[in-house]
Amino acid sequence: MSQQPDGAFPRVNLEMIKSGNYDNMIVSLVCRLVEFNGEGIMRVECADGGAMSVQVDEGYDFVPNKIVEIMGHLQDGDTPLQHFVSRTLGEGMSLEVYNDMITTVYTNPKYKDLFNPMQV
Amino acid sequence: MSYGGGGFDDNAGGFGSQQTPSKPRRDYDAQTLIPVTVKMLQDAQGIPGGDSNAGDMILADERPLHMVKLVGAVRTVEPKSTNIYLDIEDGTGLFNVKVYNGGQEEGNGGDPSAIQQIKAAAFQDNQYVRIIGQVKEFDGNRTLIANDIRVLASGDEFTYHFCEVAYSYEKYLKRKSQQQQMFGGGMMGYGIGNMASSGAPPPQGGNIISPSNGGGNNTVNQAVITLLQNEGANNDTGIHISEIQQILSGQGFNANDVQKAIADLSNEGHIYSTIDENHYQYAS
Repeated sequence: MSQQPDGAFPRVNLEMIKSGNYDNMIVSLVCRLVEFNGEGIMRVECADGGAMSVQVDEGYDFVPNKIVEIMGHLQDGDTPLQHFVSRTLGEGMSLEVYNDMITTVYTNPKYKDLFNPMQV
Repeated sequence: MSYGGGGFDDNAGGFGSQQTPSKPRRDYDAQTLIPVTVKMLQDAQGIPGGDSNAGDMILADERPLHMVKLVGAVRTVEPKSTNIYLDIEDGTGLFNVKVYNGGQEEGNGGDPSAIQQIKAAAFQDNQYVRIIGQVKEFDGNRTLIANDIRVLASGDEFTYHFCEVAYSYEKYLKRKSQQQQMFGGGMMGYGIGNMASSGAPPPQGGNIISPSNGGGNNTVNQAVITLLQNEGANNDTGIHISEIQQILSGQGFNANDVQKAIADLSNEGHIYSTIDENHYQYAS
């Protein structure tokens, strides 16, 4: 696991995960909970609409369509995200607007001094 | 009548004297609420010669720090006797926040119960909160002293905050660029009022752009400014609107455009009303 400043993590969607730029990092994935198999693998809808698997505890408090921020370790784009912590963001949050924000503002090199130094 | 021996002698520093040195008043235009990220707070620096313990800090982009707004998730909560310490992370870093927790009952100096409930809801791990407060530094450690802390109303507020951080930054850069164009470089201050109090006159016929018009009435704005500079220099009461309109009509400007230009320039602080709302003077 790469060294990251405490509290600093990239905010990603599926496209960013698949790019390989965030492998082996702790990332933030804001997503909608879609499906849980009860055995530790949860399917989520990322902010850009892509589907991603997240590895969670069997006792995870799964609520369909709930929008959460999942903090987890990303090994690579083909491996389920290893869940650490979930933070509730409500149900009415717009994933589309959030996706626009992280792709056009948060990752914009013009605002590098304002936002995440870990963001590529 | 002399009060020399009666204890009211001004020279003796009695009643009516003003011998206590007053602390310099803060520039009101600098007392803004700036949306920030943790990274911005970590990169902020103390003003040379200033007192960081008194909050004299500036962001890396030179904006003076007064009140800030931060949105982040609670990592840890550490209650103490009169304060609660939180570690807040927002993806750009981790920052310490201090919240005064009077612990007193409502009506006995404590917060009303409703506010106590609002605050208490924020003191939970992994809860996203919005904090408004001031950054203080002591012995090299920075802390955000919270005036207000509450749970986000919705997840969209979280998205909005980051957009607002970028927007505030862009707005500042644009204003800085306009001021540098007007005054040939050097920031006189962050707020509009500072442009009027700078003491440095703009170049004659300078390019003054009214943001509200997007620069469309630049020429008439310029004409009004030039007229007030020339005609108002020796006239403390300023120039009446009708007189401005009459003079500028000879230069091809219609009365409505002149009136609008006057309103825009007044809003921007370039001119001000004097004896009444119809007389204007250039803000040198």
